[in-house]
Formats: sequence, structure tokens, C-alpha cells
Amino acid sequence: MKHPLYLALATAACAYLVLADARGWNPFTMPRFLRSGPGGPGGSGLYHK
Amino acid sequence: MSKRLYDCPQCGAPVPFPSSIAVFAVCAHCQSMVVVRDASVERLGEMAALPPDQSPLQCGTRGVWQGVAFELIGRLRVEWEGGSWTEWWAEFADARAGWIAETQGFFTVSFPQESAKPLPAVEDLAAGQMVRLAERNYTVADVKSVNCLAGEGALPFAAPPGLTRQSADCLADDGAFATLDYPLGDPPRLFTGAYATFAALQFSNLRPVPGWDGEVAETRHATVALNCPACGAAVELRARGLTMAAVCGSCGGVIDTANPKAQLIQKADEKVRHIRPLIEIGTRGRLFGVEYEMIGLLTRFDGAAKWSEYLLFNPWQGFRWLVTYRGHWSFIDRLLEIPRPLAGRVRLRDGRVFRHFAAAGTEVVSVLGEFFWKVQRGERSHLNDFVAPPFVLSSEQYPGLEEITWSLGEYVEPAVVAAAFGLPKPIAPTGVYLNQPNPHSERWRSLWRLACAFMSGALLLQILFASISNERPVTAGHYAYQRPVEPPVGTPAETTAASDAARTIVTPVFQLTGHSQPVTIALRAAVWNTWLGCDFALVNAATNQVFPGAVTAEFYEGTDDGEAWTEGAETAEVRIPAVPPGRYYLTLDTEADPKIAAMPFDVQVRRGGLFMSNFLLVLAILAAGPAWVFIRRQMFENARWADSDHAASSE
Repeated sequence: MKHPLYLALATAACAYLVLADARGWNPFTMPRFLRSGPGGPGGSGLYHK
Repeated sequence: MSKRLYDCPQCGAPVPFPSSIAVFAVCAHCQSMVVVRDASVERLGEMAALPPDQSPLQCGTRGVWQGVAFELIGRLRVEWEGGSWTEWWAEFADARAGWIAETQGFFTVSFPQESAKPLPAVEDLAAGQMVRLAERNYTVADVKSVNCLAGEGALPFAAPPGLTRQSADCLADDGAFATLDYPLGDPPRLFTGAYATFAALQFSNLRPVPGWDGEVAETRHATVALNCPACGAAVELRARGLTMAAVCGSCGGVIDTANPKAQLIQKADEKVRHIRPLIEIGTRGRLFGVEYEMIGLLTRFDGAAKWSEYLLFNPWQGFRWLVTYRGHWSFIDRLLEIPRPLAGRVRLRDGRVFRHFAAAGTEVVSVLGEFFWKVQRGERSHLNDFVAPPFVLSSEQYPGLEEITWSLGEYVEPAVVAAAFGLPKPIAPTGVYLNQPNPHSERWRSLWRLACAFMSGALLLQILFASISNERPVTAGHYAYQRPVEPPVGTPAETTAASDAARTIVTPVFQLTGHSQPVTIALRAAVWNTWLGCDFALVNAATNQVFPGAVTAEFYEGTDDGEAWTEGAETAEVRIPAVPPGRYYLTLDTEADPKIAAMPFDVQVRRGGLFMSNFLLVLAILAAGPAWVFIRRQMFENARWADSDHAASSE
């Protein structure tokens, strides 16, 4: 088999594409998960009813 | 075949004339030249003895050419300024008679050809010139004066030694061959035919070759020696009769071996003792399935580089060359066609195109062994190399000789040469040789094919997911921005924070269904030369998980130096990746250009869609490997062409 390393890498890349497209991932705009609960970012409590 | 038999006028031995058109024969008993005149025969004198040679052909050898059987019935040994060759006269089964020329291990088969138009005068011909003969275009390969040395058997004309005539060999693009023969006092004659190889002529009844043939195994590796006229040392000949010059290994004198007198054609040179060939003269090795003997070595210099050329010999295959430079080797054979010139390139009949590499004047620096032409130290030639790795095509032109010879070579791995000739550890090649195969080319091709397959697969996946992941609206709302009133100086911070919180908009709760998918927050405001933005948070009502972000709508337009421009848009959107399903709401904290007192705006929430960046990332990963190999391939080509006449335009 020619290029086994490339085959492995390409297979992994395509598997990533399947998962990313299925789950809606995007490594370039990963969300910043803020701390939940009272006293969150800014301490204003705006995010909590 | 109409065979006639006459008694030799000299010795009375029977002299056969195997062909009806044979008028000249050599008595095998007393070497008398016998010519038929009317019904009688006359003796013209005594034919010179044919020099012994290594050719496997003899009178009586049979063969087949283009499906027609033939038999060799006579031969002439002829020489020209640069060497000699053998012309065999053959009678064919279809009642034709023709000539089979044997030189350097290849053959030409030609027959007399009537020409409706007058043939060109020999003075009007020059090597490289185009000439039209018998309704076909030819290129003149050489124009030379040839001299009859000796002969045997029956011939169609009287050919005493010393008979001189002019001759021009011509080649056509399709491999056709023509010879223009200019006998003194007679009109020129045209012979047309083609090149042939030993195998193609299907010879039988061959002569055992001393030193090579199984039938004479006891004489294997046998050589014939002559004495150097300069120092008297024995000089071994390994391709006798086929080589024209031999170098005395003792004094370096170059001896004319075409002449039985073995005269010195170049004075002695002591440096010959210091030549240390990588392959010793007389070494035999099997290359490409054929056993060759190394019989000569010459070194050439082109003003920048010096390289060695080893002459190989096989009695049935003729001569080949092994050329070596800085540890690289090429196996070279004579090309039996004239390549068709293109712009900066030449093309062979089989379609292979070669790119011009370099042109150089070369000089023979040293010689050792024997050669099929009268080589001398200091011999100059003009060389043009064309490459299509692993092949190299070279044309050689010698000043003063109206001849252009072409040769075709192929790169040979040093280990192959070392194994063939039993050399010690081969010298490691340095640099990139002109016809060295690019080790990255095949890797690049196969990797690129693989990458294309994977990229096609990724594209199909992306199309598939795009078709099932349509973006759809979830909720939308119409809101208004109101410029906050500046708090009076001295207002406590808690009061200011409470006022900010009161301005924050909180949307109704909405449901995000399905599986984890992106969510798009779109803002639309009628901004013109101003801006309006929202810091937002998408909040899971059940878990309080927060996805914060910011989106700004801004639009500007104006003119600069009389040229109108616009920037931005009334709409802007942000996409949040991988938002799990659930009940969510948005908090919107709006800001705007201070000059805006109030402005309505719309916020829309959409669910689904794909990130193109994932696809582009995968494409980049898939292309990275082939790109790296491609760069290495190009670097190799750059190194190859750096030594050429076209270094600036490397491939």
C-alpha cells in the first residue's frame, strides 16, 4: 500500500468533516462557555432570569 | 537464385556467381578478383585479404527482412576518414538484390531505387540539409568519401581495393534510410531502405564468434594483439575488425587498427599510465540482459565539467556506451533516426519529446582501449543534449566531418552498473544529473491521485450535509434602540449598573430542536453612515449555559477624489457553532453611534447550516501532503536545470 501515513491522515480528516458537519462544529469560532449561575461575566446577572 | 560457376583464371578453382546480376567475385582459393565479361571471365588482380573481425555474419548467412528471406552472397569492407564498415550484398527470395550495411552493431537494408527526377550533385549536399528523394523528404546525415578496402564472395560490380567514391547517407522522419552513391565517372545512384537491428533480421547460419560463442568456449575472452609501433608493447584488440583505433596501454600512442600496417596516428602520452578506469578494460558484465565487454574509455571536457565514457562491445549487439559523471551513470545507444525539431525541443518518432538542456563544445582529454573511429586526444566535437528523464538525447557534430550523429541514453542506477561489472562499492552520486529520474515525480503523481480521490469524497460529503442541514428561522423580533440619558455627576455606581440592566432587552424563550447545530443571530438596522451593535448572549433557559457574542450593523458611503464608495451593510450576523437543542432566550445589550438618539432594529435567530471553514480546513489538510512533495519535486527540477543553458526557466 502506497502512502499509508497520508491515507491515515486523509481518512481522519474526512472523519472530522463528517463529525463537524453533523454536530455543527467549527474550530475557528468555538464558543466561549461562560460560567453559569449568578455573578456570571461582568457580575451583572443579566443572563439569568 | 541463378547460380553460375566459372573456373578461376589464376588457379582453376571453381568461382561461384550465385546471383544472375553478380559480375564480380573473389576466388576463395587464391584471392583473385574475377570479373565476368560476356561469357568469359577475366582476372583483375589479387584482392586484399579481409582483416579478421568479430562479426558473426559470413557469406552464406541467411535471414529474413520484412517477411522475405535472403542470403548474404558477398561483402565489401569500406572505409572513410573516420572509420570503416562492412557492406553485405544479399540476394532476396523475391528476386531483388540489395545491400545490408553492418556498422557499430546496427544494420541498414537498402535496394536500388529508380528516381524520376535527377539526383542532387554531391557538392550540393551537406549534413543536416533537407533533400527530396523518390517522393520522400530526407535529412542528410553525412557526406563522405569511401574507399574499398577488401571484399569476398560475389558482387554486382567490380570492386578492387582502392576503389573510391562519394556517398551520402540520408534519414527520413519515419526511420526510412537512403544512400546516394556517386561512383567516379558514372551517374549517381539511389538506394532506399530502412534501419534494422540484429534481432529484426532473423539471421541464421552465423559464424561462431571467437571469445564469445559457446561453440568456441575454449577461446572465451581471447584477444588478438598487435605491437605498438611506438614502443613495441603488445596492444590487445577485443573487437578486431570493428574498431579503428587502439591506445597502447604502455606508452599512450594511438594506433590505426583499420590498417594492417598498424600505423601510429597520435604520438605517445605518458599520462595514459595514470588512468584508473572504474571498469577495467576487458571486464564483462550483463546489462539489460546482454553481456558486454568494456573495450575503451575516453574522457571529455566541455570547459566546465569532465566526464568519462566507457565503450562496451557485444559481437551481436554492437557498441554501447556507459557515461559517468559525479557518480551518475547513463547507458547510451546510437539513435537510428533523426529527431524532429520543435521550438527548444525535439521529438522522436515514438512521440517522446525532449527538452533542450545544454550545448557545449567538447574535447577528448584522455583515451584508453580501442574505439570504432579514429579517436585522438584533443578531438573536438559540438554536443547538444536534450532531456526527458530518465532519457537523454544527444547530437554530436565533428568539425570538418559532414556528419551529425544522435544517441539515446537512459539513466542507470549506480548499483546496477556496480552489480553488472562486479565493481566495489559504487561512488555515491552527487548533485542532480541531467537525466536523473526525479524521485519525487512518481510519488507526486500517486499522492496527487490519492488526494484528488479524498478531496472528491470530502466535496461529496459537504454537498450531502449541505442538502440535509438547511438553515431555517427559529424566531425574530422587532426592537428599538434608545440613547441612554447621561447620569448626573455623582450618581452611585450601583445606580448606573441598575440603569444599564434596565436597558437590556430579553427576548421570549424559543425552542431549538434537533441535534447539536449552529445558531445564527442576525441583526438588521437602517444605519447610514453610522452603526448599531448588540452584545448578546444566547442563554439555555434550563441549564443557564451561555453562548455570548456581538454583532454590529454599520454602513458608510461617500466619495474620495470624486470616486463613490460604500462600506458595510444594514445587516450583520454571527453564527454560534454546536448549540445543543433546548429552550433558549437572547439578551441584547444595544449600543450605537452617539449621534443616534433612537433607531428600530430587527433580530432574527436561525438554526442549522454548515461551516464552510470545516470543508476548507479538510481540503487544506488533504492538499498539504501533495503540496510538500510537489515542492520537493520542483526543487529537484530546479537543481537539474541550474546546470543547463536554461537555468532561468527551470521547470
